[in-house]
Amino acid sequence: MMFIKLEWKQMLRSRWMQMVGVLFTFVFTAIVVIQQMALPETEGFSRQTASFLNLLLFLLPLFILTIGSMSVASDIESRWLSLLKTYPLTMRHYILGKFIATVFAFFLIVIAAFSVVLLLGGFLGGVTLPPVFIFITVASIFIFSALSVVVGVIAKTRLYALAVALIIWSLLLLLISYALMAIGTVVAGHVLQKITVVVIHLNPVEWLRFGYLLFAEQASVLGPSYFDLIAFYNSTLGNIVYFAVTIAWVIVPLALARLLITRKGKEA
Amino acid sequence: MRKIILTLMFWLTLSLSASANLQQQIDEAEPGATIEVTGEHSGNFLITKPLTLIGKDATLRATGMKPALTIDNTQDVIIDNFKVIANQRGIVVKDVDNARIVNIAASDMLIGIQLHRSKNIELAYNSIEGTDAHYAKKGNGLALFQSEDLHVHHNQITKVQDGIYIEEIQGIHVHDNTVTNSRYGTHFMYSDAGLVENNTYERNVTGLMVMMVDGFTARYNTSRYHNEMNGSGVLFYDVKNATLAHNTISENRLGLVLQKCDTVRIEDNEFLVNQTALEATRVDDVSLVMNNTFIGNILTARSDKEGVTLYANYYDDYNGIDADGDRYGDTPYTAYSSFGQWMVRQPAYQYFVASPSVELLTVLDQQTPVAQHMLVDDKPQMIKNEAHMMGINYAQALLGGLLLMSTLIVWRKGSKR
Amino acid sequence: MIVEAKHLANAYKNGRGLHDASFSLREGTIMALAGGNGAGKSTLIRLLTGQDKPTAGELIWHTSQDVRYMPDDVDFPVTLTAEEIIALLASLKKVSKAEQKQVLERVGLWEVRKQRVQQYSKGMRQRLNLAQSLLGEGKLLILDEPTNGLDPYWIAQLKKMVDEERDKGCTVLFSTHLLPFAESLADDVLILHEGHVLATGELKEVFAKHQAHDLETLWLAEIERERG
Repeated sequence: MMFIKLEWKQMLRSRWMQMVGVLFTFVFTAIVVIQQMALPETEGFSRQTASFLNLLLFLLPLFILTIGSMSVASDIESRWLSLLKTYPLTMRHYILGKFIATVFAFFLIVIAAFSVVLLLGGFLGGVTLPPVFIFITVASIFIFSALSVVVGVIAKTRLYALAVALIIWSLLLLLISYALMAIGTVVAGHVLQKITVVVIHLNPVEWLRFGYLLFAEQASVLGPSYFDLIAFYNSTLGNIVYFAVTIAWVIVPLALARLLITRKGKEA
Repeated sequence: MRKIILTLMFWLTLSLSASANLQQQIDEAEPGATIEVTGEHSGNFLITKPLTLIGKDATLRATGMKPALTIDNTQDVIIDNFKVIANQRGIVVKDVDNARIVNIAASDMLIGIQLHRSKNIELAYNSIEGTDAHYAKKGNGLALFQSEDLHVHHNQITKVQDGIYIEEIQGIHVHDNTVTNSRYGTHFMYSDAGLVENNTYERNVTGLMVMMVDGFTARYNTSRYHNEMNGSGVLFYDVKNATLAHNTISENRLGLVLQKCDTVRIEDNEFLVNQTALEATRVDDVSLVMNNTFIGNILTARSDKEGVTLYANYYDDYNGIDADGDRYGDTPYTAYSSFGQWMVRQPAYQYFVASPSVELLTVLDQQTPVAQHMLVDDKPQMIKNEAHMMGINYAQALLGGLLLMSTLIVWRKGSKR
Repeated sequence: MIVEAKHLANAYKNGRGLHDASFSLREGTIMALAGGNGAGKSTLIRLLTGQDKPTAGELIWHTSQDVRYMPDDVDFPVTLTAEEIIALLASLKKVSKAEQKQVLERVGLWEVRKQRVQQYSKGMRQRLNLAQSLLGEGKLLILDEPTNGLDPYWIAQLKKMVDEERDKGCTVLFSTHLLPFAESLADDVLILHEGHVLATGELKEVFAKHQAHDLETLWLAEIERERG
């Protein structure tokens, strides 16, 4: 407990984290307020929700991956972790502690951003933060915090962690999509569709986006090619599978991090 | 005095016997008579002469698979204020000239009112509610075939296949109807000279579906929340000489779909917050999309190679300026986005619509103006966008303020030594 | 005897590390671990502290493997205070508040305990490092280059503390480059050279066996002998 508490303190005290908090709140609020003023009231998947979602998918993974992985890598680089290993702290606890501290720190940032949105939105006549949106925010904090821990364990130094985090971020956000689009120019539509379905499951960014559209009942935006997929995930079994995969996206990286962190130590 | 008493007695007996046997009453009535009906009547009633039936808390219940009421081969019939219950069809009108069917409440049937080979018919203030079954297993709210000069207005229709199905009709005025939760709100087939006004279509697969029609006008309608997999606000297929004006098309998967159209004019409409506002394939170059307002749509327009002519519309995502003050932007607006075009050619691409990667791509796309021949508006309209101020929501502001304060306190406490 | 090493090895691909080390660590004594760069000191400490496993040979523990450890190269989380770091580590070993205060006082950091580590000098950080190694009941205390960054006053204090630990029944192993410091503090010595043991045993016996009066001459002589 003490470990999580102090990890969380470190997060909150970090300048970088404070900057991220302010930046995230500012950008988020600006987008919401501008859209609120410029666009008519809606209930479906609109540019407003799209930009909400994209902002979330752009910024949260970036911040979580960099901050989370650097926090772990910094422990390794500074040999603080080596010292901790001589104390009665299991690596399972260490990994979980790092994960939970990251999750809590980002909860705080997101709550801050949301509350500013509510506050300013209140003066503009009220904004709505759909429950699905909050659910996806929470899910993305969990998933990317878990990923950030494993990135930190692999990277071992802060600088390398930053680089790896940025590479992974750009892969997940952009490069995989562009690669898929490029593939689409040479393969048949149904092949592209199948590859895309696979990628949805293998890319947490797409998985969260898909989840948002699914649970906001806006999945029709994806077009007729994905009817079957959407129909499946709209079923009870599909919902269970969605949650199972989401939880796997948290547990698998953490388990991997646990495995790698104990294997390490043989570096010359 | 005596005459009055006689008339009263006549009415009395009529009303009494009506509850006994409505069909017998209809058969015995003089042509042009008025029968007032109360209570529930089971059977398959048939009218073959000019007659006015006025219900007072009256219900017509069909027996078997036949309609509750059939009006056959006659003229000058008025049916007013009945509740109709039927297994398949509520009311059937065949070969009738001049009829009014109003204030009918039909529910749980397949087809509300069916019309064949008739003329001068008014269908108004009816309310028709189908079942929750799949569209394929349902019938239409108003099913109108091979008729002339129809006036369909102020009907409320929900949960049917097509709200108002119109096939081979010459001259029809459809206005002030509301159709929801059905397959198509109003469906035109092979019907010319139709006028569709002031209707509201919500949460159907497609709001207004117009197919194989020459001569058609739709105006001041609202079509919204059509977000199903094949959903669209308005769809024109093989339509000639049509006008779509002053409609509000909002929050649909596809706002307006034009397929194989000649000489259509799309004017003064508002396209708001659709996933794709306008999709055009095989549209001729006489057709024109002019003076419309596009706000908050994820994608403004997409088309095949032939494109569609855009002129003097307002686009909220236009970045240009109006330096010469002629109320039109100085640089052309390009609705073309590489991605939008891809989506038309390869539906699997649609997965990426408005995704982070594509948003970025679109930004880059707009910064590298490539000469595009299609989906370009040379005179984009400039309108000052008004902020939607709706007063202060104190509860929400208070909640936000409190939440923010507690966050800051938690943060400070967390980082305190 | 608290721990015994038999033909212990943990070599890296580049040939460095520990190749063959046999020695024993007597309970309740202070042992100096001496040797040049690349002699295998760090590797040995890694094995003793359980951060690494031997690739050959074995370590035989005669007590529980409860080691207290002062690494030579740790950077503490800079945004935390000394008090928080000690509290965190103490919580893992279930050490009382009173004892936490005591260790901070012993290394002279109690007054500045509420400052963040990033405001500390090198010497203060080293003292914090020392403080954490004093936490708990571990019977074996391993200090890796404990004098690094310490001024003469704190080197003297360090000696005192190490003596106190031994007097409490602890076994102490410290590595150092400073041979006079080793001599002045240690009961036993273990000199490593290129991954193997050059000399080990009680200081007096080692001097007698190698006919030397101090570690420096002993060490140089032994290295010369090996090369010759």
